[in-house]
Amino acid sequence: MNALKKYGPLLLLVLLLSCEKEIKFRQAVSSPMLVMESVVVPDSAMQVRLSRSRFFLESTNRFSFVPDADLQLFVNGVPTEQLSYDDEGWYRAAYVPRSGDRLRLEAVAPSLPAVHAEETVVTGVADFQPGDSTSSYTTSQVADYEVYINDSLAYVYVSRTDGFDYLIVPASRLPEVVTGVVCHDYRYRVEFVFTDQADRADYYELSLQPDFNAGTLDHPDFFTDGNFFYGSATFSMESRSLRTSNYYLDLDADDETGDGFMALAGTAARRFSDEFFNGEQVRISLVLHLYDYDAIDVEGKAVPLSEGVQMRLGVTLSCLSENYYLFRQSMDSASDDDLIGVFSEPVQVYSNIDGGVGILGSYCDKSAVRLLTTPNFSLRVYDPDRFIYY
Amino acid sequence: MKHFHLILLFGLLSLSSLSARNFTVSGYLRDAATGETLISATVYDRHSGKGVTSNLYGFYSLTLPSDSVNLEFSYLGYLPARESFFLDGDRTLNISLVANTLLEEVVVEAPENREIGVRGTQMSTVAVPVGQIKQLPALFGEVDVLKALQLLPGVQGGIEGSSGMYVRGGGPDENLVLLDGVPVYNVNHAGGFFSVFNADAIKNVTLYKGSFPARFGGRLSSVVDVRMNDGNDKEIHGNFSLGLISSKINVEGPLIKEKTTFNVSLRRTYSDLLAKPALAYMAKTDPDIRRFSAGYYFYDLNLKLAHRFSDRDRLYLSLYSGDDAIYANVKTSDYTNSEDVHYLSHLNLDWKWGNLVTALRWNHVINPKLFLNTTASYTRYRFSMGIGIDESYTSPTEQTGEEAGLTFRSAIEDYTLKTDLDWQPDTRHEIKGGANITWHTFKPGVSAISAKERTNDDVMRIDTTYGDKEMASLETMIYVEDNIELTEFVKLNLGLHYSDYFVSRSFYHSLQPRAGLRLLLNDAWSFKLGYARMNQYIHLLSNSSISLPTDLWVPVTRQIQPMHSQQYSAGVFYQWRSKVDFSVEGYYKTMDNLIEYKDGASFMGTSTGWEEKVCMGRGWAYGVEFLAQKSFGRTTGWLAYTWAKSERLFDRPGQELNWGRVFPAKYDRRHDISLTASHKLSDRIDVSATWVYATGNCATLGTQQYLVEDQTTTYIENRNNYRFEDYHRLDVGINFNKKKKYGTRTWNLSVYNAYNQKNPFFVYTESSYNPGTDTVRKTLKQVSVFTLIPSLSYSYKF
Repeated sequence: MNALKKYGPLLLLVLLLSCEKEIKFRQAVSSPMLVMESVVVPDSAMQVRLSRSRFFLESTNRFSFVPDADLQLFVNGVPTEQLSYDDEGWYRAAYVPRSGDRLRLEAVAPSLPAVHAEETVVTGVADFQPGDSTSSYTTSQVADYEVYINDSLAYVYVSRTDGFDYLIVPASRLPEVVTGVVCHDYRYRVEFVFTDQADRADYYELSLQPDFNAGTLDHPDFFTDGNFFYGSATFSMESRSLRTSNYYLDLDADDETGDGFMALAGTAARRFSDEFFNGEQVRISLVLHLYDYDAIDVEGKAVPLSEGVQMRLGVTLSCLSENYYLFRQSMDSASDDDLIGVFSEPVQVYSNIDGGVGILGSYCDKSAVRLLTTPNFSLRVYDPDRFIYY
Repeated sequence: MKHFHLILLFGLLSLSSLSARNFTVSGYLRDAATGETLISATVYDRHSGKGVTSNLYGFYSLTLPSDSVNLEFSYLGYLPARESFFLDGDRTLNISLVANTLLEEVVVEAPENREIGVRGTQMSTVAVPVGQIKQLPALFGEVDVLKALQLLPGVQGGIEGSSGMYVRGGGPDENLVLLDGVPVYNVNHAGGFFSVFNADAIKNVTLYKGSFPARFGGRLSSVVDVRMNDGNDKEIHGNFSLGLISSKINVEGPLIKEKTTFNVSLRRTYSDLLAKPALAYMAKTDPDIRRFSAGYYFYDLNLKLAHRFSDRDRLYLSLYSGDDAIYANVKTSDYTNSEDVHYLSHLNLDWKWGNLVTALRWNHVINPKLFLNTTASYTRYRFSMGIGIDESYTSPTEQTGEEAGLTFRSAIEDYTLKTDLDWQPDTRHEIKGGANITWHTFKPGVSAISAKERTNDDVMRIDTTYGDKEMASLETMIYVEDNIELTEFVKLNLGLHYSDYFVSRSFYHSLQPRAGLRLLLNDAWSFKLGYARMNQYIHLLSNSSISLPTDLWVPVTRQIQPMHSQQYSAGVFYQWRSKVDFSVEGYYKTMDNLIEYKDGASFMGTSTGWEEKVCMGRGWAYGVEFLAQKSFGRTTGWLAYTWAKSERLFDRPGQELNWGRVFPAKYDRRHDISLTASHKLSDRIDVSATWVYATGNCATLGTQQYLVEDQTTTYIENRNNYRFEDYHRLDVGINFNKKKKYGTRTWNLSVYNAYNQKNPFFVYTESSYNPGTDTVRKTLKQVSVFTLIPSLSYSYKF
């Protein structure tokens, strides 16, 4: 009884807290599979990677490649080539794919089930052309702003009606007395036109690659991407049967340098099918929305916090095979799944490899490039309406 | 054409009821001590062998030929009453039954339930006496009505401790839960670990799993019909209970004796109140904390007022209000090395969610054969979340500050007007009909963000609100059903339910036939068949395993069509010596236009673009259920076993899940066993125990990993491919009762999970890297909650 009095509460505590335990995986352990990966681009040398999947509780973080497989390529039903092993799991082919070719890959590797996959090499977009482009801007005085100076850097907070921005500029760039801040609000509208091929299902990926010339300001750590502030990038499509609303292109404003400066970077992509415009000419309108800022000195002159930076806007329209489209979509979902965690449904990544896993896909790029240049707004005169002294 | 035949058959059968010189005995059946009306009590004429059951308001109507009658009135747990007379005219007979406190089986046998027992046409239905539910051992000492239903065959609980229900392979949003006939949208407190139903306020609970009567519609898988107590019309009584996490009080009595009654119940958890002194102590001892209050609580308020104008007219007002709340109010200050400079921070968190359900009901006896019930009701579920942060920095030369706030609100509300008619033209027909019109308003997530920055006298401000627009829809429904006694051995229930739904320029409608057949083989055995078609016009957006307050109800749209199901059931029923009821039922259910979330889809309280995140498909479920139930006597309880299978197929082009192949539904479980027993050892002590066993739940687990595009990718062969370990648990409870001067006190000791079984709650993989050997050890870890939990409560009934 005394022992119970002494150890009873401790025992109870242990019982209540022992809520986690290691368990055995009691179901059948699945065998490794042969993983085949190849994305075929017309007129580019074909390569295939073979590796081995591993059981999820296997004590390694490495994947093993399969260098000793028998990998056969069939083109349009005809045995064409046995691919030879190169390195890091990659097998190279001498064959150069052509649009419309029907490919079949068969792989046999020791102690792994044989796999095969089929794919048709996609045909690119016939006439992806730039159309009209317009640009407009508005300039307005920023009602709320704050400036802090810390050694050689100046921190400028601005508040617009639609959001905040936060600039870090060399202090030497600021006028001695800042009496105001103005915001230039740029909207670039660029159109591209292409014609979808009739009587077949097509899948597209539209991607946007903004590229700024090297930074022009004198601080070595900043503005290597130019000194714009990203608002948004949207696109809409219009054809005889379709008129979409604006889709956002998820072109992240990344803090690449880790200094709090948000620069437009990365590549945004949006995939879609021709379900609603099969065989029609499609007009894509891209709208890029950017900001930049001037400080106003005591005489009412504007001192640009950035310089007129030239931006090169690359736009690529890729034609994807259905297999590759489904694979890319599921890969994106799987990547989102990692972020969302326990509150999302698990993702089965698309595979068209019979007997194994992976992807045999195809895509074809067609790029169009536009050059956009910001106007030079410097040295305009504004009426100062507020003053901040440091 | 098919429907025309049904209507014709219906009409002919109704016409066949015309007969010579019949009179009607009608009235109310009540508890003699409290005046509480008795639902589904039996009125049986031993002379003619005819009988009926009282309706939801305790009213009965029995039409018999002019002759001697020998009426027996009986109800479970009550001593029967008998009346003999010569019936030569319509007669009103209100009967009060006396509760049988002797509990001696030899004295009184359990009366048969003519609606759902061996003799009734209704199948796939279980009435669970609330008294029996109250005796079950409970988690944290809180008896839960919905958790008791999980112990019935064909009903599966969700995750450990949750009061979610999966009935015959259906989803948790496919259950229509009615409180006094009004839908309750969120039936959970505390993430699903408690239901909103306070057992002290409940009179009757009936679960319909299939073969649905035509009066019910709007959900695919089940109807849980919960009825509140009206209130004692003789004298004031009540009880209160003090538990480890909550307390409750119930008071009932007459406002005007035998005319107007009230019944009010209040329950509140008080973990927040208990934590208050500890938080205050922390605030006192830590110089940086200026204020610290935080907590979680929920409360329920049930109120019912009933007024009897005459034997023909009664008015009821029901109200349920319940909220959950999480709050935090934390103020901290941080003095720097100078006393003149300090930093002040204030966090304010305020989450609230809950239901408001209210109904005004008028019962009117038009004539002895015709009973009218008209109800106007309002039900609302709302969720609001607010977070505010206020930070300030003060120095002799500068005062700066930032304030930021985020609020999120969502709601669904219904206004309903409905009328129901019970018509008993003769002993061969019990006809019910009615209509219902509901105006739904869906208020999906609306967010508001505010921000303010202060620097000395300058202020910068942002105030933005965004979200989806309100959506409104109109749902109407009419029904008619007839319980027809073709011969003494053959009884038929035919019904038609029509509903339509108008939302955002889309119109849907559905005609849903219902049928039931009972073949009475002898006094103890019967065989039943049932068929029901059901339609559902709303969906619950939620993809987590627990019930989150952010889960959103949304209507069907042009793109997402209504779900519908067809269920076929057959069963054998047997009553052993009027003491124990046995049943074996088999069912096969098909479901179409089901929605499931696409791979990777997540909602977390947003309804924006939800149609793009779901796919539509179909499913089927089948199983066999066994139930042995003893509801009367010293020892009561039941043994339930279910063998079931539930699968899904999502193979519509562009909406494939699991590669377009069949996969098990999330709560597909092969075996479920529950054994429940209560025994009264003496007037002072009664004991109870519940043991449950279930096949483990499904989960999706990628069992292979591979490299593609230089990324480690998981290969999932099938959705829901992994099964958790089997689940089993024993709960025990004991009550010590003692008569006191003003009533009876009861100490209850319950132990949840008495043998401390570590049942799976979720499973995850853990990796640990050993740099010495350059290897990684990966293990599968199982997390369990609700291991052995003792609880103690004290209650006093006066």
